[in-house]
Amino acid sequence: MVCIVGLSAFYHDASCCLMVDGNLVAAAQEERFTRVKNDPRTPVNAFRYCLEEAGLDITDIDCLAYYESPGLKTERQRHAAGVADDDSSFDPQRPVRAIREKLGWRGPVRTYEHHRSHAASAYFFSGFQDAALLTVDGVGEWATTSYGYGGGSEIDLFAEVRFPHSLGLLYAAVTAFLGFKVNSGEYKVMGLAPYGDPKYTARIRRLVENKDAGDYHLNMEYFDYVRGDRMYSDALIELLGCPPREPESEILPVHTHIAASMQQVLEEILLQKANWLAEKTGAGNLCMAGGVALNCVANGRIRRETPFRELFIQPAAGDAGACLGAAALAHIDITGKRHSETALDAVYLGPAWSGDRIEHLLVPTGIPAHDFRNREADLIAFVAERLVKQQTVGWFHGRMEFGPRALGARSILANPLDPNIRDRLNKVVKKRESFRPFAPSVLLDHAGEHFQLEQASPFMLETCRVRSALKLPGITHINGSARPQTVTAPQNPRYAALIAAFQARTGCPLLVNTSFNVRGEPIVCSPADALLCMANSELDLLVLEDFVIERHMLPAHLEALLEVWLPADGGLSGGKSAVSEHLYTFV
Amino acid sequence: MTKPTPISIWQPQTRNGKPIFVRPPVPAYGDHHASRMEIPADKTKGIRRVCFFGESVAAGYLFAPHLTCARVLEDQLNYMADEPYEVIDFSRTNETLGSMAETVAASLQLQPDIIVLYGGNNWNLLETPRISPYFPDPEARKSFGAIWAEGGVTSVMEAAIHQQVLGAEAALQVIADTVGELPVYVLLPEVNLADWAALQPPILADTAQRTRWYTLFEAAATNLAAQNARACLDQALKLLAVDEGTCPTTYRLIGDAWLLLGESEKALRAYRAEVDSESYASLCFLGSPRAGTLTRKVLTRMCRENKWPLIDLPAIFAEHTGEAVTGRRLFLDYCHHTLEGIHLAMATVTAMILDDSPWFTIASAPMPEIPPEIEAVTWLGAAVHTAHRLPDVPRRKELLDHALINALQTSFGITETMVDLVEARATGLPAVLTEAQERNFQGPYRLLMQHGWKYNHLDIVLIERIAALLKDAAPALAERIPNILLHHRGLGSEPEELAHPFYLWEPLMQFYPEIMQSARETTCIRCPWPRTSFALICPTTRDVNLKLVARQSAGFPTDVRVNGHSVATPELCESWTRHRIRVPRCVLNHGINKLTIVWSPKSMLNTEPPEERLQKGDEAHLHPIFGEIFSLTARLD
Repeated sequence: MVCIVGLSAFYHDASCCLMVDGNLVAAAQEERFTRVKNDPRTPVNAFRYCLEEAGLDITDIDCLAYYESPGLKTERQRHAAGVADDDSSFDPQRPVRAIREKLGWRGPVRTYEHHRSHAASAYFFSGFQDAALLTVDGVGEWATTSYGYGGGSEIDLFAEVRFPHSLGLLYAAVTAFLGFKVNSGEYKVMGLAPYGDPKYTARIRRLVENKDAGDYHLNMEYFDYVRGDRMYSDALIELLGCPPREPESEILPVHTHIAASMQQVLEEILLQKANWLAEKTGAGNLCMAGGVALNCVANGRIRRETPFRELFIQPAAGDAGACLGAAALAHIDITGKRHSETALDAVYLGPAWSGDRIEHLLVPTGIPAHDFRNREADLIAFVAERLVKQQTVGWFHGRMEFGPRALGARSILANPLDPNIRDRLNKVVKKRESFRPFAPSVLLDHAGEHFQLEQASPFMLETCRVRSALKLPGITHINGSARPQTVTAPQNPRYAALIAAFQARTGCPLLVNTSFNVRGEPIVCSPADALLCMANSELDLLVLEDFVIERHMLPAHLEALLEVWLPADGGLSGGKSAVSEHLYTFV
Repeated sequence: MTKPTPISIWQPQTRNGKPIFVRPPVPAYGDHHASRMEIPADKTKGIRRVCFFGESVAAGYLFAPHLTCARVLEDQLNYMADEPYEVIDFSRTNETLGSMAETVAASLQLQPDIIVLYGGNNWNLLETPRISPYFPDPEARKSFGAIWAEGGVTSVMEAAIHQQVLGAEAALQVIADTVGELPVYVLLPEVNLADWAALQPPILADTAQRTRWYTLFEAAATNLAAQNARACLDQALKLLAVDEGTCPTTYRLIGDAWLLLGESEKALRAYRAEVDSESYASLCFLGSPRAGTLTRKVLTRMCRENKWPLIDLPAIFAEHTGEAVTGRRLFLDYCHHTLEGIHLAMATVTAMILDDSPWFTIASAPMPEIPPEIEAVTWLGAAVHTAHRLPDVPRRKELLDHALINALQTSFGITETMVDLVEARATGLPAVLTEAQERNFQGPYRLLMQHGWKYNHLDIVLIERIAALLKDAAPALAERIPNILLHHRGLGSEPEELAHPFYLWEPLMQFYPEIMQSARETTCIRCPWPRTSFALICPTTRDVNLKLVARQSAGFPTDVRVNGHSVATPELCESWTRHRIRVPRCVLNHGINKLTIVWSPKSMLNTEPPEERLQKGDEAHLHPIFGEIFSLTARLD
């Protein structure tokens, strides 16, 4: 047995996966367990979960594969900080030391370069025998964009753009300028873009010089992330002619225009780079990963406007998913073979709770849940009826998804025909900005009737035009686009059955599907998380596997009591004593 | 006229044309602040206004909001004085010096006639976080490591003390400058010396010294248990030579030995040294907020310099109780007062303010009355708090029983609450989701946040004592406890992971390796004492199969015990190894069982010297690690 643990950690979105004899047995992000969004710490809980899922313990592991090269990263960090090459502020040994100490691991730790891990996480899980490889993110070690070719068990990254020139950091700087959080708020910029006109495109183009082939250069006059403590410089403020937006402040038209312009420039550059890569490699397939590969609007254009016939985007394209690539590379190093020839077709790789376990858990809550065990058809009918009645549903079923998208395992579902659903979901359920769009889950067989979608999109990673005869205000973005997830029975039978039941009642084969969390929280992992999330939002219904809880069934005082129960800041101590996180200590 | 500014959480508003200060609504579970909603900015003519500041002791922790020091003081003043008084309570739990100084300054908007300050217990925890190896900032760790490298462990303590003194003096001087000529009454805090003990592993880099320390400690503890005071004292003094006074455990042994020998003054000195060496922020595993000699010195000096009246509680408590070493009569736990303690402390303030009545006259007046349900909840809260914060010292069982029996004797109806607490803990759910908590919320024995609802731990030490005491007090309820535990946590055919903070027998252990990084941030359980225990919940009808994955230094014996019976002696080494162990049903109890790994006192794992790690900005293990447990699963055979 060859047992490999892949790890991403220490920047943002720490995660862990377990590969046993080439089978991807489990993968999860640490944030789901710690409830600290984008938790970067050593993924101790995810590590434990992965082993428990496989019925293994630490003595069964052959090696740990880490998604970065700490030596190269330290070199870049020292350069960026302007300190000497031996400055101890940046210790190349620290990541591996932390892994050993926190995880208790004493065996071999293999490290792989950041973009190589990204590329491997896409290519080796694509099922392609050969493909062009494009990885784009903020920064790993030095590389910020990599171009390559994968064939058989080999990956060749033949060109790269190096720090400080970075499309990810460019987008992040504009994200910060627009008052959103870097490393998690980029998709808000993407969502905001269709509300604006790309009036600032010329100015944004001054930030980045798109060169021939794979190269581009940022005009560093406008950025401040190398030496300073913020992403952009005063020159950017001057260039854009408006002050940076304060977080949580009103979104003005100018902000939408800047977002639209940024998005347009990003798409232009990515399209040019993808076209160049197609020409350079001659490959018919393209694999993408890195945080920028989560820009589903750009992805949709790459599919439509480049010569590539097939596109595979790693579902967990950000740093979290790079642990898969590290594990796949370690598998090749150990066995000499690629771990799998087939494509990753589902990402239900996290923990699950059986109906009996949920019953055991519900008893002490005293919640009189409806019990649908051994009555799946009744459950489906019950939930579908409620969706028809425009109720919002927390849907907790099967193994948790790996990656940023809720795909019908930890989802909030709603009726896409409801004209008010977007505002209601944004305001009272998700408690987030009103401009944020929602995505649909659609039965694959009917996807073409409602979307300009030529292929399956099981991971919700591309946008396309809505062309439905139905009015679908819940899922249609202001520019007429949507970001569908196609659903099939083999991938998620119960979820497919629910959508089919909704279709049978309404003629609409799709549902609004958004992640099961409220703003600022990670997606729920356990039934207890789901219950707390329901109490903390205005969800009408919660489906915990075979059990259904209606809002009125919740304990009378739960909402009031949660006021002091849920952490106000989401967790990390931010330099203060961590005691208060763990103890109710009053002194 | 200047624009009013907030006083702590009380915001300035205007009502009917009059300025008032209003606090946010009190959450259902309470918060850190006094519950008074509104404070008029203007004084009522003829009523003298006292503003009262301090930490949790001053806030009446575990009694609040039903009874607070401020309310008792106001009642006493109005009972004794010819003119009326009002006492405005600005005391709060988790108060720091800086925040208190700010609140004192802001409170001057209320034109107080008198200021009362009652603090000092928090200084060792909250005032010097950056001189702690547990502070998350790598730069703070580096400076800590540099001090250590320069002068050893004792220099770290000295640096912490120095910073504490500077900080306290600066904050008190700010108060002095702010209040001007306003009379400020200061209470010199006392702590529970008789009952509350620290049990800290020593911080010794040298392995031979560590081994010697633990060998001596085992011998001293054994002699103490056998009442061999002289032998215990001899060994404890040798311990002191090894740890150079940096380990409070040693002083506790010395104090206990002196007390057995009838030398209460010497015992008192040793106990004070224990508190002084329990410098949480700089060294300790998990210290308790307790004011030490340094605090009293700083307060005394600042009072002298500013001509503030000083109320010497240690002297008054000793005089009142007739005992040099104050204990549970006046304290619920490490520093929070019993009803008598609050009454007495406030009587001394009343006497000082009125300046015409001796404190003992006021103290002999009837104590404040509170409903029995509230007092019972306070005692139950004290038991919860004791179970969570007092380590495994000989007095713990006695102190737990003392609190629980007081709760039962005060109001027998608290029994249902005790069982609800057991159920809430046993489910493993956040208590807020349990029906048991919901029931409690609606009943007369409502537990608040300060009573430990928000606690994600089985709490087996507390549950065990509740179960034992209810056997006599309420047998029918007592019978429910093992069944509740078995229902929620009982082993089945699927393996249950016991090497999880939830099952650790000692609640404080969940914060190992260091308090600032809980066990949840490491995959394995690291063992800082030669014994590591877990709760094993199972019936007696079947054997139990254990699977242990652990490591320790090779060549030393390890013993796995269940309820004191040895069930296996696996051979461990520096690498992780897996061992299967069968626990015969004949050694099991129905419900609660104690599963203990006994490490050899010589089996400590090699770790990088802490000062070197700290100088690199890394977290460090200050304490020895006897072994590490990656996994300990149990299931019924």
